[in-house]
Amino acid sequence: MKFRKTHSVSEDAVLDMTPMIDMTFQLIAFFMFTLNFSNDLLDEEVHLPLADSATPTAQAPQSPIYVNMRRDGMVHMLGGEAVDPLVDASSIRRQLAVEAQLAKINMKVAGADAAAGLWTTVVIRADEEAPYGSVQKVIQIAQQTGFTKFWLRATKSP
Amino acid sequence: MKIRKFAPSDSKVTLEMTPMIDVVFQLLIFFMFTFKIVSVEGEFAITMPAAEQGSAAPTPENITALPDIDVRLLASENGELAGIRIGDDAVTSMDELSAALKAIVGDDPQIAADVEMRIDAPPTLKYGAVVGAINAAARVRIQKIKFSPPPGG
Repeated sequence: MKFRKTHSVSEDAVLDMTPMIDMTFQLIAFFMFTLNFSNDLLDEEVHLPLADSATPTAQAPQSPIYVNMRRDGMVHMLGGEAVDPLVDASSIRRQLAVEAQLAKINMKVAGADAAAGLWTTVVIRADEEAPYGSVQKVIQIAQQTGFTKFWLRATKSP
Repeated sequence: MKIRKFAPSDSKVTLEMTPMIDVVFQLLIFFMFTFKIVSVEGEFAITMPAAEQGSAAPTPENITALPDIDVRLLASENGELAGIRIGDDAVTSMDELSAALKAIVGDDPQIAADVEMRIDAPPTLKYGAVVGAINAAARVRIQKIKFSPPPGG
């Protein structure tokens, strides 16, 4: 038959992979660049209060300390254990004192004056339902350990 | 030459794609599952130096400074916001508080930057209400916000 003659010689169909691989690399690049490990410090259980004038600052604070407080007023520290600041203030104080000591050493190395206040920012992520007294207690402990800069986190409402 | 004979008749070299695609799909799946959409978090930056004993004595600077704004929040039994007082006046909502603050500081950004607002709230109040008051202050660009000390030190 004449029709057969125009058919290709090899029998197996060749799939062109190039566009698929291109697309896959695009996707990998996208997911790689959106991967953000700093989110690990944020407690997903915390529902931040809404505030329309809470502006996200473009630049991240210098070596921040995150304090996550859930709705029951419990602070979940780095170790993962839950601490009530109104009951067990000393364990929070201990952790913050370690951070303060670290900041002082870092500031000394950098030649900054630690007496004017530590450069570390304490980022407070408290649940909107958390009792204000617990938040206040955490702030007070942090102040007594030498921190002066605080960030109160809120979700920016539209 | 004898070596020539082993060379394939057509000069095309086929690249084995299968392992590469396998690995690429593995990577793709890893990055897809670690992908997390995080809502944008804003913040209120507040500088609060620790209060030292004896530093509260009025200095000439303090006397000439602008009067502080006292905002008092009241809580109901279950921690909900029950009332807002600014000085001695009662306001009913955070929007009204914002408007009242606007009436005090006016349009001058310098006054707003200098004036100090003190928030007094009971410990049982929900934190969201306090952030609401801070938000009202931030709307009129008040920068100095202080919390009244907790009861019992």
